[in-house]
Amino acid sequence: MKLTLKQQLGRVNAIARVTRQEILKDKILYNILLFAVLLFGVSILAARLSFIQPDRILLDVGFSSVTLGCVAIGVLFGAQMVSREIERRTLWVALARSVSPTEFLLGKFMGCAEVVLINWALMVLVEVGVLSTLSEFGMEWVVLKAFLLPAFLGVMFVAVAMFFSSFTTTSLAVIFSIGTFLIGTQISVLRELIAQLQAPLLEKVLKALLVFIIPSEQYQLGFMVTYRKDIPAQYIIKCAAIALFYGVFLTVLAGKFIRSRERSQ
Amino acid sequence: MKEIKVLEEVSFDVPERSIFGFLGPNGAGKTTLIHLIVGIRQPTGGSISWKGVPVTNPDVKDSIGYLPERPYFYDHLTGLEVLEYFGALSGLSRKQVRDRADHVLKKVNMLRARDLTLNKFSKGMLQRIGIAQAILHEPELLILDEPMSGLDPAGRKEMRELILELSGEGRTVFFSSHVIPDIEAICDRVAIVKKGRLEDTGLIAKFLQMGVRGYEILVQSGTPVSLTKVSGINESHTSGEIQRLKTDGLVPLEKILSQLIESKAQVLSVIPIKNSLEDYFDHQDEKPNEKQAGAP
Repeated sequence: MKLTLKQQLGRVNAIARVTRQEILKDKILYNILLFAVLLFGVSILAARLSFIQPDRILLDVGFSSVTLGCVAIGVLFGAQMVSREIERRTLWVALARSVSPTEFLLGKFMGCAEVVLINWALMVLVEVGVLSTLSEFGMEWVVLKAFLLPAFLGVMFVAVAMFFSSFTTTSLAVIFSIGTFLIGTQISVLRELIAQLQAPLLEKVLKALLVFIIPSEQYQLGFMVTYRKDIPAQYIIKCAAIALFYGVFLTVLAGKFIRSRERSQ
Repeated sequence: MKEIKVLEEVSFDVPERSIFGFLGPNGAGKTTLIHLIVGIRQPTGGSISWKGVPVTNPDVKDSIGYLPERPYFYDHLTGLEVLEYFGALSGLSRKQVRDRADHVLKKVNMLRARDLTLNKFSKGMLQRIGIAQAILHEPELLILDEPMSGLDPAGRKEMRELILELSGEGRTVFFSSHVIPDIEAICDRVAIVKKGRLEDTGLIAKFLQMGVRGYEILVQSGTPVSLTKVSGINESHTSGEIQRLKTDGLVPLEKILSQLIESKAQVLSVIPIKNSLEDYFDHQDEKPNEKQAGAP
């Protein structure tokens, strides 16, 4: 009996539901949220103390808080996804059914991504409240559009952390994911450095390697947001597409690693 | 990396609708074999099939119910949520799970724990919810890894009855254990594995039919029986007012009893000592390693 698409989606959804429930019961999540709320508090305090452009401070620190919150939730929970499942052996009980490792990880990814999105929505709501009450410009559509980017970034880093955790420990997966995030924020600097190289072959090789770096820089539009510049819809769609591509690609790749781990255990 | 062969030359058939016991000491490779059957691990060689179809086939996987050695479930879920989760993994809809859940929970005597989270479950309750998730999708083959492990005597008895009931419904039950009486009590057939190799397999009767190998005779110790006066007794233990005598199985029981009566001993009971799988195990341990013995 071959399972229908509805049945397959049903089981991915069941894995996602259990994952979401589990994360929502975890205290780490609330610590991250508390940290984000504290950062909002800092933005309000700094804006009050500043004589120059307090609006920019509110927006800048608020945007950074949402970005940090989304990435932290994505990385910390994504990194636990596989290793925790292996450690308590819940992964093997699921794989004893006709569930493939990729299906299982897709469910885990969706569950974790849902948590990122729920918390992103909460943080954006807080920021909307802060800007609406304290900023002289209030909350504008151009700013709200920019706040979509941290959500994509957080979801993408769920997949990045999950990918690392498919072949290493939780702590190493966190370190590798943060490293990937930081390198990704410096792509344009790296590009400039490469352009200054005097060796054409090395330049080509390094440029090719840059393609494999996850472009987290694209999701942090700092000045564009704080100066309330409009972000084109195409740019946002492109960022969503990149996040989706990495999300699916890394989840499938993690599934392959799990399969080889399954063979070699 | 050095490769270690965990299982080698393990080949046997499990007849349909039987209760098949897989017996072996800790570390013999029982759980590894079960992991290979349910597809958690992949064999480096050989094949495993159910009704002629490889067990890796999704259809076969869906017809297998599996209870892991230590029930590994999410402890934030309730009994019903566990069934919903595993039901969905087996392709059942939420409605199908809800329709079956109460029946299955009742069967494993867990209806009261329907809305209780697993972190409040005892070991026995976890085993039972494990069985419930294993039978929810009505599998033909049930694979239970040490189902009685960690259970108290009452729990073991309940589990034995449950396995018999599940087998009575027409399912094939394959279960592993290192506890010989559990296997003796309910299995039709048995396979014995040691150090990753299959020692023997066959009907349980094959291992038990070596007959009575002696008797334990309990006598009142008011008039102690001297071993020298009664032939055929090779062991004697006295505790309190009871003296336990063990016969060597060489002298007929009638002769021993008549000697005891003559010596005015008060015989309280005579218990036959049967061969058991335990004896088979002990006997196997005593055997010299044939391959080593035959080596030049």
